[in-house]
Amino acid sequence: MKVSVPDAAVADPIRLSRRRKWLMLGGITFICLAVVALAGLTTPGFLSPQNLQVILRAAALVGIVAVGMAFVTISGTLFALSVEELAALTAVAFAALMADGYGLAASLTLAMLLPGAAGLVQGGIIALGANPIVTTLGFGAVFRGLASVVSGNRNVRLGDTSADSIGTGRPLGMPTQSWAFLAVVIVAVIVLRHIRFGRVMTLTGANPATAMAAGLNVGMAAIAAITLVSLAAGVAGIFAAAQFAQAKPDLFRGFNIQVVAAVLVGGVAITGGRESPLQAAMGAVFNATLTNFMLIRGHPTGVRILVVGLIAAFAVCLFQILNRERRS
Amino acid sequence: MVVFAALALLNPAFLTAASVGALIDGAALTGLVALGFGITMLTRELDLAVGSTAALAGAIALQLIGIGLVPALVLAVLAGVAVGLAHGAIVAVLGVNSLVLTVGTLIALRGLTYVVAGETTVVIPLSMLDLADVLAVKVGPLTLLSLIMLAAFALVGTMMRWTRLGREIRAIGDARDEARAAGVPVWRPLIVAFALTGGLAALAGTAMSVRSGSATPFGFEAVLLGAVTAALIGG
Repeated sequence: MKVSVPDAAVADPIRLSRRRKWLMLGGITFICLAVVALAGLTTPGFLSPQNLQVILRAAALVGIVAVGMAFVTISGTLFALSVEELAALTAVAFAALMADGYGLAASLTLAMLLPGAAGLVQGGIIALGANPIVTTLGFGAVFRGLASVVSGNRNVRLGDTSADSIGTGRPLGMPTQSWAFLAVVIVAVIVLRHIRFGRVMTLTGANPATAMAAGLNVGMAAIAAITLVSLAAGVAGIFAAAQFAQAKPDLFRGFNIQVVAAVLVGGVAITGGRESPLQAAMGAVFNATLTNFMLIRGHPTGVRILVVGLIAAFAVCLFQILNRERRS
Repeated sequence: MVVFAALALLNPAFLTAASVGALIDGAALTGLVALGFGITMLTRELDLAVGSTAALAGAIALQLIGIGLVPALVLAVLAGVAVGLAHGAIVAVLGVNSLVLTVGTLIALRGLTYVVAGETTVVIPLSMLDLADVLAVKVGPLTLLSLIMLAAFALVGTMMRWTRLGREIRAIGDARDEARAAGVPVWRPLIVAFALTGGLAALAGTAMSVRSGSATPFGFEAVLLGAVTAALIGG
């Protein structure tokens, strides 16, 4: 007996939604590859190994934080708009600790305590009912100010070369940041799909009422997600400081926008619950590819930002339409 | 307000008309934007692109100032209204979530501001510098900008309370499904609300840019936080 697709969808909505997810991922990958192919044909130097490495490294830091941000969005906590400031703060803190002779291990540990605490505090306030956007915007300003204070408002040099391999190493030919990006994506997908903690987050985002009725602590999902993205921001900050052997308080300007754009272009909508952090990662790679292409072509900053923004807004509309068709 | 009261108690001299005027003036930019943001908030939508809209309007105004202060102002505000109309239309027709959409558009508008400003800070040509002082003119303790803000608040408040459009706007926020069932064309107040938000943000950006004589592509970033906080605190 033939079962038509609509009947199958009613019988197994989870499988259809998973299929849709893979469809979207496939779609993004295809578009990415198409853009790369087109760009490679029309622009000399775009497809060179060096340039591809540049793209991957540029996408890595944004990608790591975008995966963290995906957790926030998937759990229904909207966005954490304090990541750029937190990354800058962690960067200068790490640099200052290294400069003061604390050594690599101690500096790393102490510096990462900052984003951990920051995430817990922001998450806690949001769990109490505060609006995530306003809360994180406010904290962002605080972090930026703290970064100024910690760095004495100047460039802080690490002074110690033990962090160089973190920032500029190329194990097996691929930059450390890209390895970290890869690792983060794999772990994130596994956690969200197979580990209870991740599934709780997905359910909280998809259907908070059900989650609460099932006795799950909805507030914890927010705290966990915000802490994760904050830690991711901290990692980005440390990579940046290690790469340039210095850090200043106004690093990562515009990073918030890049991370959010990656999440949006990847199709992770704020309706929560159905998406995959892999989409956010693909969004980061796509944006980095597009931006790199525009850079090589010599387009000015404004045009690059404009295009990324338009693509993000367009992606939002597109995914909304796709979403609607699935539901009806 | 609490801070102000505390300071006033500590130092009676603080409570002069002039300082109140200065306080209101300082709040004028945020106030105008918050007013606009509040209108869309009433419809249960969010326009997070207000900061970028203000920046864009400022850049447009200063680039066009050569054709005269008033025409430049009008065109800049119209640009903001156009942005708002686009937002409203997309939300009304496609049903896209306004928060997510305006996060995307705030990026795009910021880029557009860079383009309009030619990647640098636009300044009023020296020959027209006295035009900038127009907005700093005072009527009693209040600057023209403050008066504009107070007038805007009064106008919007009246519209919200007394006109049908105002009631429609509140209706689609409080009880959208019931309003739709009652025959209210949901798209109309939605689009108007967003247009107002865009226009007010543009007005704020234009006024500030003209008064300070310069418009940078990355200005008004903090405006979003201030306006949203103000709107949320004020309910």
